[in-house]
Amino acid sequence: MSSTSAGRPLQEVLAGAWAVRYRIETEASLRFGALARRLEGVGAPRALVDLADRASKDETRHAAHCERFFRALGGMHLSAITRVVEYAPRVLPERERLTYELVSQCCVAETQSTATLVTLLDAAETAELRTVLHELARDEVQHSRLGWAYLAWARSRMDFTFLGPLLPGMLAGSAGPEMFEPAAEDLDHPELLRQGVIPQSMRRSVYVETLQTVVFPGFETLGVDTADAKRWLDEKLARAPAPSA
Amino acid sequence: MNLKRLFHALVLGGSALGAANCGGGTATEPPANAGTGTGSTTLLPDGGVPPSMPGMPGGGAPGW
Repeated sequence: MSSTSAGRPLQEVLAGAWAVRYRIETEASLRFGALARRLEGVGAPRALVDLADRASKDETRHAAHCERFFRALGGMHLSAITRVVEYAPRVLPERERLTYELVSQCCVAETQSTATLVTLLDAAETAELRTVLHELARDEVQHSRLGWAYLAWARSRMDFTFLGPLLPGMLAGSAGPEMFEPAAEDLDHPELLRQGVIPQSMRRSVYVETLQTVVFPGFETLGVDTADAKRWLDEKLARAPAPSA
Repeated sequence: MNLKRLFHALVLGGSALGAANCGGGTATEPPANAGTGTGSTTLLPDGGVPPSMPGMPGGGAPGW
């Protein structure tokens, strides 16, 4: 069995990644189902409601793929997410909270997932992995589009000024605590990439480039101020370790 | 990876979809209290969403 330089078996690292993905996919399924109902509640176009409903079903299918890879690696115990809480600050009115949820889930998280999946697709070692990654990437494109479509529809109906100052907190939640920390050796093994898991230092570069090239320009195109978000990213990068050669 | 292509596919593709649906074709008419946030309860398929807790992360983690 192959090991990472820290001695942790590569198989264990990979199984752990698929277990985390399983939890995130089960959570996303619930979240999209709730978003579909909330979109209906504010009179959103049927096309957006349908996208959210379809995304909920997609995520259940994705979770099944994650479970299959997890089991193939010898994983035993998986736990699904069965309840979700809103990301949005509770002090916001409903329309603003819904907007926050869609921006966070679709414009940020699903856009980042799409970029990561495309990166993984290029490097995947086996045909089976490539087939699954292709299916997932195709779906994630639609999940991301839901957020951008919502902003395009909502921009003439509400003021997005509230969003700009909230973006740093949203991005911090999306990045997680390890994104700008030194990469842990067992999570940064180059072999991970061919097996469908992005090494940690590469994950950071994909995340940052996607913010700078897709997410921030997307917000600006749709009238969401990015000054605070860009300042947050600059501060994070100034303190982050230099990427390895 | 060509991120500029991704921008076109996601942002411009999504925006076009949203813009195309700007008039009419809504799923339902907005309820009378839509957007007010007063007394609204967000229901999830599992039966309900508890209030946001202090310290909750403000954004979703990309699964990938």
